[in-house]
Amino acid sequence: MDATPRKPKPRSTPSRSKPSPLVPPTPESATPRRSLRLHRSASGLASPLTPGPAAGRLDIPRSARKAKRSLQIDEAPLTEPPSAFSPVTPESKRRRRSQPSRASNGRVYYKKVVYDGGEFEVGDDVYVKRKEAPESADDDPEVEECRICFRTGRRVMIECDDCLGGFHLVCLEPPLRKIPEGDWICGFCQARKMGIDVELPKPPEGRKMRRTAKEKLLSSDLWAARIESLWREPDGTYWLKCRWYIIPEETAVGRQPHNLRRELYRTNDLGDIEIESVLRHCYVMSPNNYKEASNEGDDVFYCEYEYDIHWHNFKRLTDIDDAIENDKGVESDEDWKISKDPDTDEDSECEELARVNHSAHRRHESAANIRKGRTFGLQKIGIKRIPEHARCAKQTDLEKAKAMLLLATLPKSLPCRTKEMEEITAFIRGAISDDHCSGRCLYIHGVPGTGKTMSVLAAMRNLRSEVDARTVRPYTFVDINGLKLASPENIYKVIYEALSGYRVGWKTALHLLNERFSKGGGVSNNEHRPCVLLIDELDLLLTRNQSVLYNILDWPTKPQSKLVVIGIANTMDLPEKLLPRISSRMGIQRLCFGPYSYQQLQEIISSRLKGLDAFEEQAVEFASRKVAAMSGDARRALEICRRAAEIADYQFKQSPLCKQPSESVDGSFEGKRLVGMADIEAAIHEVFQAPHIQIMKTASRLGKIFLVAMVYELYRSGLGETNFEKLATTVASLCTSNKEASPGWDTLLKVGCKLGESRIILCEEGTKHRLQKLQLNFPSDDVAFALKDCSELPWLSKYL
Amino acid sequence: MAVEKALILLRARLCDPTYVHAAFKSCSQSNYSKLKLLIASSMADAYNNSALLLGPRGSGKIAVVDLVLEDLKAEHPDTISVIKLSGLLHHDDNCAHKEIARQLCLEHQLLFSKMASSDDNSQFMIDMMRECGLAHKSIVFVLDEFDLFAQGKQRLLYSLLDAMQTLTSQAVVIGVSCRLDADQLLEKRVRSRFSHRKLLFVPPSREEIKGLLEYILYLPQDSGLPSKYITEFNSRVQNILNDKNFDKILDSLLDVDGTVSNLVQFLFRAVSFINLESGLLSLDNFKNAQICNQRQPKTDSLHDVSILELYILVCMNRLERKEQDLYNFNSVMKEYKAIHDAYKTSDSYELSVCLRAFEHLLERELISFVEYKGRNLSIEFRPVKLLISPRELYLGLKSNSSCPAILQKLFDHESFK
Repeated sequence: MDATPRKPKPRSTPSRSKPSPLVPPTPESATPRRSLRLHRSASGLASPLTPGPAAGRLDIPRSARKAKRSLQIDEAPLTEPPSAFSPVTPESKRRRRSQPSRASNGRVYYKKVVYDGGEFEVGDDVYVKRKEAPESADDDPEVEECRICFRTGRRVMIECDDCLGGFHLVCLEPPLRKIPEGDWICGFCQARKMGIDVELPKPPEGRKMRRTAKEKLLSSDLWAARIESLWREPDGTYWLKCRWYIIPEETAVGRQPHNLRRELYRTNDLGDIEIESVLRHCYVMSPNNYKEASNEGDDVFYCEYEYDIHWHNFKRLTDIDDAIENDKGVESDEDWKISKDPDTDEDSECEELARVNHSAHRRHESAANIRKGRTFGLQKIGIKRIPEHARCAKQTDLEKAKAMLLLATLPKSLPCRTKEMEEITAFIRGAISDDHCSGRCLYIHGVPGTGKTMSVLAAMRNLRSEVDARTVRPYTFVDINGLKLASPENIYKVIYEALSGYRVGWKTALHLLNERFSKGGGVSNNEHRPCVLLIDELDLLLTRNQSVLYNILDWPTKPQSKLVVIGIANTMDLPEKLLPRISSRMGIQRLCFGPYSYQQLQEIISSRLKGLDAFEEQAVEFASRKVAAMSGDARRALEICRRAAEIADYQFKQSPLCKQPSESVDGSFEGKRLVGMADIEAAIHEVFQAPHIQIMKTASRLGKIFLVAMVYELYRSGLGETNFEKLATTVASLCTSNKEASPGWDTLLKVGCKLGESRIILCEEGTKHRLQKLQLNFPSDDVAFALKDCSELPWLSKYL
Repeated sequence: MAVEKALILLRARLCDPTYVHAAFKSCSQSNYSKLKLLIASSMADAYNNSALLLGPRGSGKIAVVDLVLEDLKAEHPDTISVIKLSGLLHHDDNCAHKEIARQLCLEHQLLFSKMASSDDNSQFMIDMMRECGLAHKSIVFVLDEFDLFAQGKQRLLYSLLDAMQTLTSQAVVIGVSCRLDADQLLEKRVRSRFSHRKLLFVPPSREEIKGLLEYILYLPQDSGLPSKYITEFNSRVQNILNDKNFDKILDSLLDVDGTVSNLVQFLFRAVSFINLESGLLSLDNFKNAQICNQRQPKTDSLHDVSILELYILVCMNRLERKEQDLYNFNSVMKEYKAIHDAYKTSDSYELSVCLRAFEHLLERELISFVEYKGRNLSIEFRPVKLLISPRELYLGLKSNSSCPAILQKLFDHESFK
């Protein structure tokens, strides 16, 4: 039972070629179809990566299995006659779920069931029989036949990327020596694309064309589903709840040109089926896993989107479950996130949806922006048709670099903050593993963009895996951002909701929390669990009498509280600014996140760009030096690099070189462009440029005279502030001495107010007229610099 | 008939800022293409972006945003939802969250509840951003008067920008402001999350204006008007545009304010002066429009003030000449009496009448109180100031038909040459 990996983690080539069909009975007859890594996949067959179910079935011939369907479970054997073959007919498939959950008391739930030689586990993907198949069971070949000679055999096969048909290399015309690189399309498909009618070779007389499970699935004679739960009914039958997959042809829009051949959509449709109708395993993978998959055989499918069967729209699947690489059991999930188990949540959503759909005539709908309605309303969001641009997988290094430099991209590792992270981890571990669990408080400060929140969250993630490994006691983690609360008092509400799942007013919440933390009395059944409270932007919780902060920081000091508070803010001296009774509670343990140095920034950027040939070494260094000198803000550094990559990418795509990469000037360049110093320079200029010089340069003629008069007045009087009357006389004298038409006061006032709007000068409102006070908002040198050599009004330089 | 049609066409063009700014579409360096590239790339690659559009009022920032969004909506139907907020209306965070929720609901045909709390609304916004990101849909937030959002705690901006850097959402935040220092107003934690992309809107150059004029004023061949009329009209416009005098008019206009909206307003006036019989534009139309444009409101209001009011103004001017900085109604009356005694004029009025005239001048904002002093005194004792220049007063006296000669003389030889 232990040999089965719960989620197959296959590796493979990005060109989505399926290297080998499902492991055949004898490993020698491995017919890896086509793969750039042929040898590896061939050798991989014997490796432990080979999926268990297939291996487990090796000893039982397929034909024999049908006759002797038996359950290999320690409990009572299944007594159902094997002929009761498909408990679920296609018509009832969709309706099954509406059946009442009748004997829920008598049910026994399992996590793993060994049935008929196959191990089925919650979370596995399986083929499900659609109906009593017309073909006999021994027509389920595990090895695909060659499309030309209609034999299996142990010769090397190649798979067409279009029709997914398999061909022996030697059967091809002309025969291929080895597997070609890149996409390969068989002659039939090629001909069909040219518009030629081709006749596929017919199988020899007396033999039917046999189809593999994959082909049946893709022609919707089989179903694929993901097992959500397994149980045994009181009558001894084994059932499973499954989430259906759907092939593109079955969706409302049908197959789109960008759909891959092996693509499936996950639906939000659930069904209860008997385990009888499960055929065997298949492997539906997320894009990342799919790319790496190599030796999973023929039953590998690709799934990137969820399809909503009610609204007929698509949604990307979140990669959240993939981000946390190791598979977690369901219980540990509960430990981690006590508020809601995501799966059950989804279930209830679907149920609700189903209910609403049943009674579609019912007018009453709940509003989407209130809490209750959200679960329902958001179901509707989805795209009717997946845009093509989202699917183009071919990316240049520059494009990948752009994506990696996004702030939203969570890096795999967090360089440069290991010391701080260790400290945080040690702090939390110390606090929660303590038997008395005396509450503690940690204050983290540092300028924005130095990875404070990220480090804490990463530390919590690491701790979570320790919880799963049972080395650390389970605890509750509550994450609150002070700037996202409507008012400071709301924090009680949020904390209480996170701890207990109930929503109450903040006063009640405060009362209940006080009770819980001071007496250790229970709001919920997990009261014995320590609680880690992370408050981001702590300074926002300041109220006039600072009672909110006091309450929160007072709880950890209570003997029974088991509360750990981590506060994050920008200012170093926040504790000192608070009342003494608060600062004595919070200021003891502090952690400072200093601004990043340029080496650190460089490391951060290059760790994100690892493996991508997109940036010149000095370019990264230049950017990090520049930012480190300015602020040490990692976000800023990443943004600059991203902008530079964008500029480079844009220029590259504009250049004629891109259109004809073969005609490149020199061989080394070959349609490739690195982000260089010039791009970084341009990006920095864009970020740090001061727009006012540009605006001054392009100001109207009178505006320029106005500004020069301001500077002139400043020099003359030595005072920064002047009023409109004085300025108007200066302008008039400037104009007359340089043979300009002198403007009226009204016009001049208008010009002044315009400049005031864009804050080049600071001025009072225009109704003050000649009493209006004026002041330059920028140094007079900037004005001088901008207007010194103005071609329009050369005389201006005299006064600057 | 054809004239009216042409007039309607021209006016419709001038009133539609997106039409006017579409003139700069083709240029690859224009803000239009830069902004379009920004939004389109964030749609194509599922990036989050934020940008700031800066430039003086009337330079077409919102028009360009509208134009870009319109085009992108046509190119990618059903994938963009636009949320428009204005700092003047929604600078309050709760109100802004509510408005965002309302517009999101409207856009996605969801039911909106007015009763939802601010927490709910902000949570809804974040959920929606996430869901839309998963569905390859972009949300574009256009924040007009961006500087006004940067007041107070900036919760809205923080939650928007923070959501963008943590979620797999696909959102673009576009701030529009005429304040050049708008990004300096952001708090540092908000600024750190903001990607500092700025698009600067500057007034068009002379060549661009030439192109713009042709783009707006030429009648299209396929407008359904008689072709003879069109050719005549267009050749006339060409003549005008090539005229030296027209250049002068244009210069005087753009010297004050070079933005597109100013130019468009001027053209609208000119087009409205069109001769309905011939149906053709002439240089005179533009000259008239220029005169309209150059009106000086203060001088104009001097045309029809009463004689007593003129006396008061002249008295105040005399007081200023004597370098008496602070004066109020009583000191003005003293001066008035002095003039009256010296020149024995016939225009002597009661004090109460004078006070009425004085109040009238205050209402017309030809004079005003000096603000910071004597706020709670009665009108007579509060210090006042003249709001027009001596030169304007001089012109005003000259142009006022009912101005007594003595006043003119007084003003002339006492003070101003």
